[in-house]
Amino acid sequence: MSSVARLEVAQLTRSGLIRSVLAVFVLLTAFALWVGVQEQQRWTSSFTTARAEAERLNAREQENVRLQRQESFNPPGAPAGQFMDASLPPAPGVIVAVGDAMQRPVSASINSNTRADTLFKNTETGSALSAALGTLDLTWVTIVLFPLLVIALTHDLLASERDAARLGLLRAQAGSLGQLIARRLAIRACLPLLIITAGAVAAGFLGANIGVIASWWLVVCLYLVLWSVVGALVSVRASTAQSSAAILLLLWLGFVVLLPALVTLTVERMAPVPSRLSQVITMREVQLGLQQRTSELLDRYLTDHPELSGASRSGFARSSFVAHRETEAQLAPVMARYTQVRREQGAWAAALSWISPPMLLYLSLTHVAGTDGTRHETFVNQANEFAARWREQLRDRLFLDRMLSPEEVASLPRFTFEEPRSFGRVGVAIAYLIVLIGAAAIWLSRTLRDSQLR
Amino acid sequence: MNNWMLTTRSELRQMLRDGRVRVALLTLLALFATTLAVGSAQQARYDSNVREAVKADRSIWERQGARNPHSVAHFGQYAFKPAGAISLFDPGLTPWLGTALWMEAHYQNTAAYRAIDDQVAPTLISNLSAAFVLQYLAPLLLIFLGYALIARERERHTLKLVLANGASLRAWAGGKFFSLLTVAAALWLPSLALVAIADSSDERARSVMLVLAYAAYLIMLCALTLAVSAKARTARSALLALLCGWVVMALVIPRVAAVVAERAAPSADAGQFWRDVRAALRQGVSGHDPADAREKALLEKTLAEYGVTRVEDLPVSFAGIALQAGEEHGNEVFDHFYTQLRAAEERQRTVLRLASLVSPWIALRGLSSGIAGTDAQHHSHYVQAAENYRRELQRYLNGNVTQNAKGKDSDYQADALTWRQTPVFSYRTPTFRELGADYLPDALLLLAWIVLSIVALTVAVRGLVREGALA
Repeated sequence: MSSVARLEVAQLTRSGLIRSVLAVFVLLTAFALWVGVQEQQRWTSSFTTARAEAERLNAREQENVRLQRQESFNPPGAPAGQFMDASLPPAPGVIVAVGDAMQRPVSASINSNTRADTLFKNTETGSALSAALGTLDLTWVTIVLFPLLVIALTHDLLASERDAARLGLLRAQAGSLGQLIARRLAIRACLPLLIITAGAVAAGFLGANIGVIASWWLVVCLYLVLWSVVGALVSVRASTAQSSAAILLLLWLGFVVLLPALVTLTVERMAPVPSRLSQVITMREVQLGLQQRTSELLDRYLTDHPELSGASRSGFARSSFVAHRETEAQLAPVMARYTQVRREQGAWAAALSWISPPMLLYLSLTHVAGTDGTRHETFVNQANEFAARWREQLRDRLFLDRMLSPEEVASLPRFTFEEPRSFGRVGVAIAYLIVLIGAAAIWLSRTLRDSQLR
Repeated sequence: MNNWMLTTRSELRQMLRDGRVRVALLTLLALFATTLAVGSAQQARYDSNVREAVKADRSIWERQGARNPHSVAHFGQYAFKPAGAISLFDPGLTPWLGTALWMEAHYQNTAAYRAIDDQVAPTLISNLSAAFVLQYLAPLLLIFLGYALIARERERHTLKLVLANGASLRAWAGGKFFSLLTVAAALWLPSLALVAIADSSDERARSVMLVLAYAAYLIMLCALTLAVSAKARTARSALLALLCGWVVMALVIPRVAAVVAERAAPSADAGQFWRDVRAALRQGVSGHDPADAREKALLEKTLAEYGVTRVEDLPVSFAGIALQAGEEHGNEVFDHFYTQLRAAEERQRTVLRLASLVSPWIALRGLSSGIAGTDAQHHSHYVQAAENYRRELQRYLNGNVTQNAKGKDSDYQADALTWRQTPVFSYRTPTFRELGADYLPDALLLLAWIVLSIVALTVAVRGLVREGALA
């Protein structure tokens, strides 16, 4: 270890303030990890309970069919009375990035009347109070708070020496200013990186997906390296350590606090979501229109489906089935409009996030962790596909009044979530961060070269 | 001119001489005006959507034609939630709360269609609103302007000069405090527009309370900033302490408190909640299952009440009686489970209030969203009003079946005019007077913070006096 490096380590370890700040960040990292583990356990418990409950009810229905015991509105084995749970398993990286995942519905009860617009019902039982304050997960701590640690460590990288008029002395000792800065920066940047690395390793041991953790760790490290290089650059250019800190804090305020809030506001203005209240009214108008036409609809459906010849042209379950399909068909353009607007919003958010690396990172990290909207959208699509398969399997029996046997109840399809595999967004974030680091490093080296000449 | 007035004028001149300060101040004011304009447009659009939806849903309800009242009960109605009285300023919990509640037979549903479900872009700190500007950004400007007000004088040894000149230290510190307060007032003044644009006495009262709460908050911030500046050895350490305080109190503690609140009183898992509700509902009459033993017992009781032995001899329809019995049982079940949900939320609120002891931001947030009518209390009021109406409507429709469906049961169809005679759900947001007492703890906590910060400032200035005596 060179003398500059030894001196740097000694200075850092001697400072009570630095030790306290580092301890606070270690505690915050541990707390955020604990939050992630708690949320993973909550999600896992919700998922396994929903699964077990669905299986228990399926077994109960088999027994009801065997004993011909009626326990609900539908007779035992009735196709319309069968249902199955479609639940989203915990995201692979929820330990490191909870995001808004716990706000979204993760379970749907599928039956022959399930519609795309009512896939989730009555899921708003969580507390808005704590949801509005937000979760303190590792990704949030890293993106929002860790830059402050980096600023605290790097703002006086050179400016303090300039303040104390020790620059010439140090330059004489270290050889070149570039080397001096590089060594100091390497040591100071190591501290937050070490904490993050320890956090990532712990997350791996606590059950997070290793691939996800590795990607998360790489992106976060690059992000902190970017802040370190920017910290060094500002420290070199600023006249005093105090102005260096002020500039860096303003950068943090702009990029971490203001720009993401402005981006969110802009996205909502550029692609405004149509009123959900008008969706409700459209649905009600459709349902009102269908009320008086149920027998006509049933007739038409049976004419359109000759394979169902012999089916009865009356009955609540059949009328209800046809009415739900017709409602879904008539609402499809309305629902498509929401999907379209959400995609537009996603595109705007992705495009605008380039002006705020923290926002881009947040999108990327929650994406790789599976806690962003993309994985949930995949779940919604798969649940709707499963509902369609479910209907297909039971439709003929429902129309032809054929009850299911215990074996058929047991062999009803189960929902399995196919995990999407897409790390593209992370790759883009990595490339973007490398470009930014490169640009900041070039600027720093030019500034150093100029100051050497001076 | 007074000593403190001279100091105020001199400090203000010095602050405003700095172009960066002018830019920051103007930027904040522009941001405040923009968020207020955007919030106002959003609230107007939402209000108009609610008005249209309420009208349309009633029209749909009345156009149902001749139908069985129980089919109509299943079709139900929607209760649309009006915007909070001053949601243009502080949307509070609005994005996390449902906007439309389906009032149908047998079920007390939750309010659905939350704005957060449609938000694609993430929120790192908070959504941008006028309240956000005053809650989060204004303190930063005050910190940057105020951290060095006294500390720099000590650093430059001008403090000794001031004391040696025999100037009144209290007046001098008071001048510094008022200079910072003037900047805070400049940030706060535009919020008076809320009072000006209020179009009802309740909105006016709420606006006045809101601007007073923010005035108190800004006074507290000025006092706290100056106290730290007076106590710190150097301007740098004052800045560090204040910024750390801001990060910890505004960003970290609220989130930690939210996590602790969630652990202390966990929110219900939707799946488990409804599994429990359905299990409890199965323990009573459903109104749809004549084979059920409880329904048979109800029939026996009804026959005995009317002094007959056969259902055909009843002067009324037993189907209506059974359906209403099912509703009554459901009401008990829902009261039990929803009371538990509300109790958990109330416990979370208590935890957050305790956290306000270490972070005034939490107290202010609670108070601000409460006054703006965008908090959980106002939402509960809307949900309860909708549920009261649902129960009244079900009683009316089941009563219609009981009185008219004898011998026809499910073939009975009520006249098309019946639906026009049903009561109209017309929801009125509670006035601040009705719910105001709920926010007293938050107001007291904020008040405690003001008192504490002024005491801290006084003690710090007294410390300067002692320092002066030693100099």
